[in-house]
Amino acid sequence: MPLVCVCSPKGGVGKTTVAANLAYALARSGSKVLVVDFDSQNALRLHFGVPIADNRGFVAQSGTLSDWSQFILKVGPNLFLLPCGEVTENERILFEDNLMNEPMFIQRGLSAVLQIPDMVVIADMPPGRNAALKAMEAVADMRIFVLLADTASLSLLPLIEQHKFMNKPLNNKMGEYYVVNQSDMRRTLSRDVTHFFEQRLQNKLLGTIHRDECVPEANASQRAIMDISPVSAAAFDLDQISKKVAVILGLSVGDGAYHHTASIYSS
Amino acid sequence: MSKYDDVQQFKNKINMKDIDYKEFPKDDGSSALHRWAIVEQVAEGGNGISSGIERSMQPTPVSATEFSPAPSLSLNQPTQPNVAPAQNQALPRHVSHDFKQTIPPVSEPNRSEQFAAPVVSSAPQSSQPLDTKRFKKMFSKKTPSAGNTGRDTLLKPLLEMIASCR
Repeated sequence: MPLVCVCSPKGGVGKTTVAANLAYALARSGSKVLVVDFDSQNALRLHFGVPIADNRGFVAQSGTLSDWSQFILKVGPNLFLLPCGEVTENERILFEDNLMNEPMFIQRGLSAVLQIPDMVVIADMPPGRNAALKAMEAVADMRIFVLLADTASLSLLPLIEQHKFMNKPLNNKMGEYYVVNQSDMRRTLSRDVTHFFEQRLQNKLLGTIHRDECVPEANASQRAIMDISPVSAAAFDLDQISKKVAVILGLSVGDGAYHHTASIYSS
Repeated sequence: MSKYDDVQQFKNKINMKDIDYKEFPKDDGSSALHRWAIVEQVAEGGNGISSGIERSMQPTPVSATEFSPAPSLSLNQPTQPNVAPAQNQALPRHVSHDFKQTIPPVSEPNRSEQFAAPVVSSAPQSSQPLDTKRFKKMFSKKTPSAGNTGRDTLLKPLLEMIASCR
């Protein structure tokens, strides 16, 4: 039941895109994955083919229901989505109040899925400091900070490294990692900032995602980047990142051996 | 004509005469827009649930049998009727039960250590989907006659009670 928290001190860096496509990639490699949207923008669902008009989600009733799993949608055989849903201002305030004041709020809401040993839970967090991120400190096994390959993101790196963005480092879990998004090697600044991130972060950098037009195209089509453009640079980068995440989380699918069966329906 | 002049001026300005200038047809603009699911839905006012994307591609709510291959098996669990109803009022009807079916057997002490909160410890005991009318009837009958199931009980109601347990 590893829980991966995808966050960033900045908005618009591609957290939701990374969370969605990381979930797609892990599910494609055989892991059972649930991706949860904690951002009231309610945009994560759009990456999984949920229509704009479908505003179902867990946040509106999170205070009254002790288990949020009834709002889970099935995207694929082993890929599940828990959308944030449309929330009123009062519902959002109540949700944040519960996140801040109820120590076991997230654990209780996700208890049914957190007890499944082989289920990877990916949480897409709102940007910046917020109640959900604070509540996630005690729950998350792994944090992934998404940063852009520009100086606006770079200037916030000391904030993250000195734990001023998140109050404390992950206590006994798998640690903090980074993804640099929208790196463009044709642009001097983008290339230099990417190199700086690589040198500074070393093995904490899960990977760099190249700027690729197929990413907004996949989002516009409500599909995975891997499905829309399987040979694109971004699809390759995300696949590499997902493999690193799988290694860090210790995910193993099957026994590593190939078992030939004449038919998939044979027992 | 004006476009032709513009192109000629452009060619002269950059000093490249052999540019193969091609004009994009105007009419394709509207049809190209509808390739994108998000654009199509917004164009239609975002009211159509199935617009923009194929119905088969849309995620569906987790079904009752998603994680539970044999729901009838759970009816035989002896501990189900003993769960206090008040603890299960807010629990989901089917999904948490489904997830529970996929969890390998864990001893009770370990489970309580992992989730110390009292509400969480009640979550795995969700029996709300199993509270069928038959169950309620069976155990509500039993309670008042609990101290009177000895030899004094009449044979006919006793047989009816046994028959209702099937």
